[in-house]
Amino acid sequence: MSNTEHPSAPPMTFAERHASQIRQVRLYAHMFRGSFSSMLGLALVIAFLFLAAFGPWIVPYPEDTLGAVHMGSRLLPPSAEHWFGTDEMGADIFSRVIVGARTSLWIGIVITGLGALVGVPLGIIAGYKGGWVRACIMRVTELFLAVPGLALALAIVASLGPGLTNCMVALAIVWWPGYVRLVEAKTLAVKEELFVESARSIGARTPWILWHHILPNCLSPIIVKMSMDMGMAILAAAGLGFIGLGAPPPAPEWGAMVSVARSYMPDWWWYSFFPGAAIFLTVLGFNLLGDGLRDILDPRSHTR
Amino acid sequence: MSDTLLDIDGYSLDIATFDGPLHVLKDINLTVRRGDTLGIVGESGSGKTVLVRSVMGIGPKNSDVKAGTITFDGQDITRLSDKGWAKIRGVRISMIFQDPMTYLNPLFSIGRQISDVIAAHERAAGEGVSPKSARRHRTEELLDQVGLPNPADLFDQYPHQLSGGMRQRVLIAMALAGKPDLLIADEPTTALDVTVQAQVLDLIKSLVKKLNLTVVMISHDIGAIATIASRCAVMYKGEIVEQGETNDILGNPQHDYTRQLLAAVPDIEAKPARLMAAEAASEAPSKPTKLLEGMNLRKVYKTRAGGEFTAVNDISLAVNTGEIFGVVGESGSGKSTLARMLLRLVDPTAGDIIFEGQNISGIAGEPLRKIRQHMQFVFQNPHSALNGRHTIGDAIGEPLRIQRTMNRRDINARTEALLDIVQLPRNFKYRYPHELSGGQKQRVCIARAIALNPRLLILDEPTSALDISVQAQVLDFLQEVRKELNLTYVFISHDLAVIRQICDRTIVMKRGDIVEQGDTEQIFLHPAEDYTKALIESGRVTSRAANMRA
Repeated sequence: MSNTEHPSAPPMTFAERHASQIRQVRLYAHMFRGSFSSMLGLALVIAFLFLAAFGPWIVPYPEDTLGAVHMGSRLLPPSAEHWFGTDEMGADIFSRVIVGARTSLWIGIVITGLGALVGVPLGIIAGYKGGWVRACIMRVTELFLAVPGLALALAIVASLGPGLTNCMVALAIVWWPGYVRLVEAKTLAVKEELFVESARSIGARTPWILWHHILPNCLSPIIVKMSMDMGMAILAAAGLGFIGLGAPPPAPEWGAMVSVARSYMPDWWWYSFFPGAAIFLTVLGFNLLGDGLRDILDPRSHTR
Repeated sequence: MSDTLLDIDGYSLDIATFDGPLHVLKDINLTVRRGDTLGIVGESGSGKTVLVRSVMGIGPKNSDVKAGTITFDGQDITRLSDKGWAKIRGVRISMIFQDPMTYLNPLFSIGRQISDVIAAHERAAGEGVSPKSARRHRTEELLDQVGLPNPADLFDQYPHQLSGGMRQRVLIAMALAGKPDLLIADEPTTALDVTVQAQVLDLIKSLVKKLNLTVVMISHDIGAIATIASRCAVMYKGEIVEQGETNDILGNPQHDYTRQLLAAVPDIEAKPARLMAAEAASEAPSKPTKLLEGMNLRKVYKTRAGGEFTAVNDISLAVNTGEIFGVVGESGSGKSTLARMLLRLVDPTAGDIIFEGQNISGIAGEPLRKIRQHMQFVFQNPHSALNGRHTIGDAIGEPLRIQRTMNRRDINARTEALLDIVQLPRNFKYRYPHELSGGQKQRVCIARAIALNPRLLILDEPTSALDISVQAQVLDFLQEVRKELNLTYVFISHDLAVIRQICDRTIVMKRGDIVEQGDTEQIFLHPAEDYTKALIESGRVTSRAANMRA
């Protein structure tokens, strides 16, 4: 308050200027910590990210991840030497599962990233413009949503040919309509807010309003959906890998590993169990994290 | 002691928040006897709603009773279980809420909602539910009691078919269904139009007499309290600063806060200061030039059913440079639509808008954006007119950044200068809207509006979302800014006392038409239309109550 009397008051420190943001972050952290499932999700995701980042340097048998063959040690059960056992080529499953995290992370980021990159702008435009623009965008979106996503992706990969890149392209193509739906609905609500009209009255152009007013207010549901979708995209990619449309062997991809291990069930259970568990824990982690984020970002669940 | 119905003794309540406990109620002592009518006056945030909700057992989440007790009819209800509440809540204590629309379920008919309440009471009392026809009879009786015409027809109607005043009557009927000992009314008239307010207050008053009700009414409107309550309490920041007979408190306030509150209510009878100043100066008025003209403006909305709804019907007006032009009317009279049309935020169906000799009703795109620099809008509700994700500095600087003629440093300097003009500390530019009070937010909105040095400011009920004491400050401040920056105002309000204080010329609107127009003083002293008279009369009630001691 003394600032008005002393215009030449010393500039404020970073902490003073951003006091409210810092408080907000602390509040979020406080709410997030209060929930066990959110923390579990966060721990799983952090573990996953850590393995994806440093996997190739910490695995005990790096050469096994590149397709090395040790016929002398095929299908060994889990032991101190091979924690998760070995596969039919004698490769260490532990090493392959860990390095597989990197492939999965890459898949998840590319699919959700592309999906959001295409879906969010389309959704905002559809919601804000209305009229025939909205009708066009939404009808195309509904067309995509009407076909089961995985089946459509399957058809696309089948026509492009198997491979990791084609697999990701196909999944990104079936992924964006979800974002259009979400963002369009949110935009319809936000554009009726008074501050949008207020921005128009001070002479703001449409792109300005979309970027400065609509998008920031749509961000929380987008973040939540992206977190959830990371898990779902990894699962879908593993599904394509399982039916042989993903990364070609011997690349360590979880879905492909489970697929090969299928014929070794149930006697050599560890072969399919550990890649399967890796998929399960990763998807679970991202879903719990998404749930936790929704709880703290959704204003309706706020109790301050 | 047997006639004490409600006794609140040393009651203190905390609400746990992330930043630590908030002391919402501090040592409240109140006694309500049977047949009493108690009014609780206070501004938003004073804790009055939390207090009465605690009496109903529907206090806020995370709240913690620190001390004290609430006793209702000899029974301690401070920490009652849900089962215990079932026999009291709605049956012996009922409540009327502020916003009649949101408290009625739009999917069920009026009659069904009230008879459901009756059935629930009968179940709670353990008597077994009476047959449908009996409940219907009782419902119609209740609807009749609250002065609604044709209860039999109304029984099958839905909330959206009723006006705001009728809905509030339905809610009152619902509250009376359980034959309560205590009726709590939380701002029962705030969401209603001024002329309807008077009717609803009269109804509550007559019911109190007829049914010998005990009423606790909360309001920020001193006129409403004076009409209903025989005793009143003044709350400020979680404390009761003063209580006693209503006439004593209004006529002879003891606490500073009460005095401030009463002084802040604009006096409808007072001769406006601007006229006295004009008389003193007695300079020959220069020939007025027209800044903004609206000619035969019409706005017709198409309804879903295919019909048409005329919001503004063929209105012509002219605003002179330098004056304050008042627009008065109740909700639905089309005054907001008119204001938005003048700024071209809403496109008129027909008619022309002429700003500084240029017809702006047909332009679009870049020329329209240029024109908008010169005419700005201040919205009714400052709480939603600011984007919650922008800092105050961003909000005020936004119009400057949109024009793209200034660099970062100049914008920063101008933002600080604007904060000085609206008398807010400069470090507010780092704050977010939710950290500011309503009055501060409205100042930010005004700073935003004057950032581009406009010539015309359209103010759409700029003070109606604010507390009375803040309202007075904002009005004073608006006058100052106008003098300083040489602005012309179009001032929209439903509050005639405010209009009289500041407006030079005024139009009175009703259902899209101008019913009266001319010099503000003329309209006040010699209103020609019944509608204008009714508006002025309803304004008098509050004004008279607040200025009792004068």
